[in-house]
Amino acid sequence: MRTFVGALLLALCGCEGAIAGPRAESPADPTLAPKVCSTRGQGSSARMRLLWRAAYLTELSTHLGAGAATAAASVGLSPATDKRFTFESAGSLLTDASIESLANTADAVAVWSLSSDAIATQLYGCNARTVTGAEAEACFASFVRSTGQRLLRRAMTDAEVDDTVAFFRAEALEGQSDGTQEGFRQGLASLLMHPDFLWVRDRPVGDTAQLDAFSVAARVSFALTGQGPDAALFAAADDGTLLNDGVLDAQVARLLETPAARARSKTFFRQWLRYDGWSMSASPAFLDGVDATSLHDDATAELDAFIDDQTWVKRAGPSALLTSRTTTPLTPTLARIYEAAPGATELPSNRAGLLTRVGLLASGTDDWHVVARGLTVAQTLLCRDIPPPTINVADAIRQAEALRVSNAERIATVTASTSCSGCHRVINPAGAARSDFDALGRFVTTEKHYAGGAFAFEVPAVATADLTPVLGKTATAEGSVSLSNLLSTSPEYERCFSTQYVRAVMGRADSSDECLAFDGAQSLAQGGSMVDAMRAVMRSPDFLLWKD
Amino acid sequence: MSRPFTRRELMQRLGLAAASLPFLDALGNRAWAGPTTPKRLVSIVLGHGIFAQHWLPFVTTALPISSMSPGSLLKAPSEFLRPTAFTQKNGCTAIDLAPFTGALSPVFSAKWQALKAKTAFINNLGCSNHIVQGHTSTAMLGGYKAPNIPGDQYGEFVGMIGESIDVTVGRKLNGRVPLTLKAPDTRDDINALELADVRGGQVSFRKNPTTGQFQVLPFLTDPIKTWDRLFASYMPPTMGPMKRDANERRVALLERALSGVNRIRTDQRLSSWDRQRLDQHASILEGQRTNLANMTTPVTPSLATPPARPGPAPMTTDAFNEAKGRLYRAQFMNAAAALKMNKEQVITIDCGLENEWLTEGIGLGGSQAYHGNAGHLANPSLAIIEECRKTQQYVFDTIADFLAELDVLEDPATGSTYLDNTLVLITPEHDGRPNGHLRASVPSVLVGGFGTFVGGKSYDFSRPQLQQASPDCIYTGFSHSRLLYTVLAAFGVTTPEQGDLAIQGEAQSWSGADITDWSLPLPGLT
Repeated sequence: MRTFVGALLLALCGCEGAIAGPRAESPADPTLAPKVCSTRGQGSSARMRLLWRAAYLTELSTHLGAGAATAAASVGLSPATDKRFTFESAGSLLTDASIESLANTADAVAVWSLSSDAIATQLYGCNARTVTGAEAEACFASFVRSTGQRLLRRAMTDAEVDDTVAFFRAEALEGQSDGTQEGFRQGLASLLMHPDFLWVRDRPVGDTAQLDAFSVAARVSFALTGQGPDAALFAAADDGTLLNDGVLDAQVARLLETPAARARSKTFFRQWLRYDGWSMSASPAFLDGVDATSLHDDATAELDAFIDDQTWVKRAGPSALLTSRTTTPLTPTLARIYEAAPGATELPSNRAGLLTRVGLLASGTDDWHVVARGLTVAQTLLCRDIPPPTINVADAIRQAEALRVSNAERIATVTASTSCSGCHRVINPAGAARSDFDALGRFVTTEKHYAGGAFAFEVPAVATADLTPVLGKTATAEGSVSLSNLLSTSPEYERCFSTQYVRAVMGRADSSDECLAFDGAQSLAQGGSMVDAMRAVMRSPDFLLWKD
Repeated sequence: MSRPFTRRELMQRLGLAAASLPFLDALGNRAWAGPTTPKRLVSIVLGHGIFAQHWLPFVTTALPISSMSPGSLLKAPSEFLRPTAFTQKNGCTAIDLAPFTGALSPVFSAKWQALKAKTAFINNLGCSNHIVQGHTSTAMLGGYKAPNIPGDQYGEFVGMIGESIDVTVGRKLNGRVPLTLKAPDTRDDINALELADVRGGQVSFRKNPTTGQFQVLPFLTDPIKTWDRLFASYMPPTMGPMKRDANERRVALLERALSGVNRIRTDQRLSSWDRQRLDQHASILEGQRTNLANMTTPVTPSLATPPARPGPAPMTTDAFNEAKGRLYRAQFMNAAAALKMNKEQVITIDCGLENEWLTEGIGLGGSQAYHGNAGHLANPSLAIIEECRKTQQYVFDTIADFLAELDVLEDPATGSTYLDNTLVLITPEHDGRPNGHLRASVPSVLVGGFGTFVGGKSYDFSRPQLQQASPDCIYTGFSHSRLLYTVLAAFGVTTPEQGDLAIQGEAQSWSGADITDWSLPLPGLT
């Protein structure tokens, strides 16, 4: 099930009067999406971030071979997942355990590199299992100049290469019984423990605010593809041409056409919209014959494909995500829920866009909550700054669930107090407008309630809601499609898309990225597509500047 | 000063501590490794087993041999190998030897009284695959490398370390193949050696083609001159030093990583955010490096002291036994000389088949002589058992003399003796059941090496909860490998890096014991 309680904990109460928080621009406009770029020319803060798990493994696979990633994964590379490396992950600190894990992993990869003549020869350019003496040193030096530099994502000076080879030599002597194998083992492991491999770090040029070319290459590459710079981008950084007129633009355009960029965007959308974060535990009575065995996967795949199609094939703007009825051929289960024919590629007219699809409707339980659905609109799509609640949420939930009324009426009752109404005047109508779909995503005109897996009572489903507090202008939604249409024309939604994208690719929510988000939003305001907005972020002047 | 634990080590010990809760009272207050590390290792390999009734320390009167029927000897040793003086507390029970002022057992004569404060008797250790072909101690203590050991016999230990511990410690201490002082087994051996001695103190040595070990046969002339002559012409072969200790490797890696972090911290323009994280990165690297580095204890050989000549040959019953006894005893004294001269830090004394003395009524000559000893008799008579007792008392008397030879001052500054700085591990090949070749309950003795080990006690490591009903699968105690692990750890070998780890999988097939069992030190012993 979705984490409704968590959502409620975050959102039920806490702001009095207007939604306002320390990060809001003003009490009247409490959004995290910038309307202006007030820090133009000051750059984007240099905040080094750890390679996240997927990027770590990809780097190994790219530069050392797929077997390296397998070897790394086999020793329990920490973290086990990328969950902590989402929007605000850059604040993550190294721990004692993660250093140990990284060292274990580095050693495991290094051992793998010497596990057969074929692997050793392919990786090092010589048979590191048997080569000795000066030939071994020359081989390792060559490896450092090629693969080593790619791992560190920057050029190495001759002195640095010499120092690395000296370490190789010393370690080879230490590992006497294994000859120079120990040198190769430790030499490779040391590269994988190097801070410039483990951290993605911004470096300024001398005393200027300009990022050096390798830092720009890494910023662009990790942002767009989730990987380090590929050979072409690294070469452009290495020969100094990357920052020349047009070269960076061309590289960005090139990277945006790669499969890695599409894969990276899928990660972004999943993190942003969180449509895959539920599991099914609904009762048979509620399911009413729907086979929900694969519903989560079907619904997630549907949204993955829908978003990919809108973003990369149709090159649409973010508004299309809220209005389009296209879909991939429906599975029988989705077709039944959508009341469409299996294999259909367009949804019925009572649906449009993300908010009407199972992935963003299903709760996994017999019930849905206004607050959860409202937060998807207010917080996720509009970037409203919603502070955590200050009341006893569990009591409020119990109080609400005791009422035999609609979900909208329940939440209106328990959040009527002054301490709650500030936030909930935005959250509640945004959620209530989505009352035309049940907790499985079926279109409904009556709202059925279940208790203990059995039908309890029903009330008419009322999806009419006053969206004035949500949109900041007089507006009324008559259900989810109407709500989506209103949102799709909201500049706030476009700005929020850009903000969320910047937060995702930078791995943080940082005010110094304001101008990046602004530039992306400007692109959208001028009719640009989501891909155009991504490119605009990369081309933002502030994206190339270092800031303490 | 006690060395600090690494986190990994701490976790291991926490696991051990959890497993050891039932016998916490047996755990002393000492840290796992004491302030000193033994400088030398002597492993004494005893062929075949020892009758349980003979081994039992300080129960001489509790189980008079004459009162037992031969058939009762076939009982699983756990049934009678527990001295009555023990208060059984589910394993790892130790009792103080001080109150026992007489002979400690039928084979540990009064000679051991002077040594008992530096001695730990270790009872009821077992091996997982103990059913047949019990060459356990030979393999583990000295003589076989992993690839030559059938995995089904020695999996548990070989999986951990991959080679016999004398080789491992030899690698650690001096990078050389350890000396093996080989006792003479056959009449031909003895005749040849006697003849060589008559001809002027020739030294017979050979390199074991299978193990690569350097075997020295007994010599009877002045050990100082003989050793000098021997090593002037032939040194034990060097071998690749230890596969690098994992801790040392990790220390080097952490130092290298720290160097990289520090270079960035000191040389480059950093944002305050980046500096904070790099500082923290450096702090963790430094902390881990320090912890690991402190685990390594250097070993410094001391200067030699000239040894005494071998004493007179003990009484034996016939010419064969007398000749063998003379050579046998000489071999121990030669070992003492080599140790005190610091000619070698690691010595294995292969006692051969110590039951293979000519014992009246057992068999003489040929294969029968070689294997026709009490350990291979299904129903030995009490008279034969008594002959065996006398032989084994002779063996342990000889060992006691050897230990006494080492127990002379080495370091005036600390008052420690050669024995104090030498760890002597004595283990028979298998347990005490006749015709058994079984290793369900192998008795062992640790002497010396103090500062690291707790002596003056007899330990019972039986674990009744691990006993299996099937006679083919009797796992009576803590793993024998844990004793070997304990010894290795005393020499700073703490990681199972050696050998062919592919064999390790066999250890996972133990019934009733998890994989961590064999790779931990024995509780309470240190």
